[in-house]
Amino acid sequence: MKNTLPRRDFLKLGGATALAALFPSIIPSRVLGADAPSKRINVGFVGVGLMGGFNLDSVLGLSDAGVYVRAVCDVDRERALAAQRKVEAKQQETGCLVTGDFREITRHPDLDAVVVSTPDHWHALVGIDAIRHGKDVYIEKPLTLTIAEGQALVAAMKKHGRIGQTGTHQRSGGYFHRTVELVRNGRLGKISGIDITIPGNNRFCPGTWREEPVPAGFDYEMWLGPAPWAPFTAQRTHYQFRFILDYALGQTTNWGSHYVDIAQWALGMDDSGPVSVEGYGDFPSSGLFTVPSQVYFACRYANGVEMRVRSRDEQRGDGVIRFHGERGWLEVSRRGVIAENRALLKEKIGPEEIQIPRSRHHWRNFFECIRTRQNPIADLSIGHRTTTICNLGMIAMQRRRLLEWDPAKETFVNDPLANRMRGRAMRGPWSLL
Amino acid sequence: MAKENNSAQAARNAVFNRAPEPWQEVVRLEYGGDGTFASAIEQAVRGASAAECAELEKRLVGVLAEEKCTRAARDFVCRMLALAGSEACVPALVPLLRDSQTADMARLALEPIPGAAVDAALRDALPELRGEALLGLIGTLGLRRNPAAVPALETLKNSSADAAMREAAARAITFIGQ
Repeated sequence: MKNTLPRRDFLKLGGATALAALFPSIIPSRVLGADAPSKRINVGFVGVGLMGGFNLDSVLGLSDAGVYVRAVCDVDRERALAAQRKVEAKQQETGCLVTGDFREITRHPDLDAVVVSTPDHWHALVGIDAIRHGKDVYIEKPLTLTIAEGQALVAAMKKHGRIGQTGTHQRSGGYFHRTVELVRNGRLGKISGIDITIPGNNRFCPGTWREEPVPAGFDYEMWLGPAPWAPFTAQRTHYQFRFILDYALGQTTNWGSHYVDIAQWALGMDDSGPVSVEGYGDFPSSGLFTVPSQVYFACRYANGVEMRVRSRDEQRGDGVIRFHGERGWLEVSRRGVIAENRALLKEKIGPEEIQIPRSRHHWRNFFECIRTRQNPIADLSIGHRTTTICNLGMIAMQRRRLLEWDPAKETFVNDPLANRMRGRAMRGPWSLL
Repeated sequence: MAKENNSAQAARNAVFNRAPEPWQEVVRLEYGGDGTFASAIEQAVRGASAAECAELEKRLVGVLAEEKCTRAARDFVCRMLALAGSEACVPALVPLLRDSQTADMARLALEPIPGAAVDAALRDALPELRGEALLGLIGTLGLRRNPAAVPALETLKNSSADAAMREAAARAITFIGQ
């Protein structure tokens, strides 16, 4: 079956410059059917900055799995062009499309999947648009900025029957899989508590800042997108956006989503969450950065387990999670697994015990699931629940009081103000509708 | 001795009274400027009880009414009213809502506030707005799921010359009906 859909001019960047050759003819995998031997999965990237660049490198190594990058988008023209050059060099063919408008990718008829690595405040809108236009999606963590966005994104995925993986790649890591299997099979006995440590937030920020000219080739209006208008200053955007509450929730969601995700997995709570939360954050009194420099929040699950999340003083990378049980503690990070009782680490999980689904490679798992239409290891609905808990922590730190949470209804109990903090109105023309 | 004590007390009072008052200072808030006073108010709002919200709302509306209120101060107040506002702040927000330059921030405040007065204000602003501000308003009307907005949205869906407007109106109508 030949794809006869007309192609749009896919070459504008920030609405201005036509750049390269036309998009080569692509036959999307869904046209050929899931078992077609010649099938390729054609991928478009939205956001190719720091994390998007890492993701691009990962996907460009998957041609053996029939995965090819066909289009890249970034509101920063230099970054978009650099990504295009990288793709064409690695795949040894020209014609990678480049644009500054994500809709040129999410609505392109010849693409099968979209990878979203934008700042957090864009995740939901780009993901939903891609899903509505028949794409499977990989969305960086944290899945969304707000709880309401996560609900809308998961609803869209279910309605349109798309595959969605989020970037909590520790679910594809051996140390974490091993830990979760040990906990789920009761090797620690009854779990009483969980301690998570995440890197510190940006601690040093001047109390004032200056508006700066928008650099040439940077589409600032599109970068802001649904967020409230604010003057441009360089520290607002690339990477540092993470420390401004209009666009992200700091390390509370950035690293919190990785390790809260492991707690949820180990507790078997992927479709639920805690029933209360309280927290205390150290919020800056002035300056560009608005996330708390010190983070502490504690959630309690209905079964009595308390999960405590706190930040370190320094910004050193990686976090760590420690499970406390009747038979001691078990701790895992990206460096490995350790236990109070070392013998525990040698125990085997028998065939009659709980077997946790296994993914050895987060990206390959996503693309395999596109072919098989099975749920990936970090399905969007799982990512939503994890991101929700990080949001609960932030809201509790802001409310400075104990909050009750109904995980079935996804609402706070008897706290209208906290419920308002589950979402934010978007700047026109953007909307979750 | 009593005189000295009174004098010392007066001096302390003078120092205390010279300390800036956040509600006066926030009127002059500028993007990039010292945000200390705004953050003091923000902390009060985010941690407020239901009873405290009513008093905070009055003071926030008061900032909007100040002649010297800057754009940054107005935007800040809208963010705070999104948390602490009620139908009581609607009259203060309506002029902002009906101006395409300020509609987004007014809508940011109004969208999460329950109540018929908010629904009516949003509905009545439809003919006043154009372009992206109107698209944003259509989205808010849809998300609030107010059936009374459907006739106006139907008109937009059927008669707007702008395809994006027609699509947004159709989506809002569908969402309200779900």
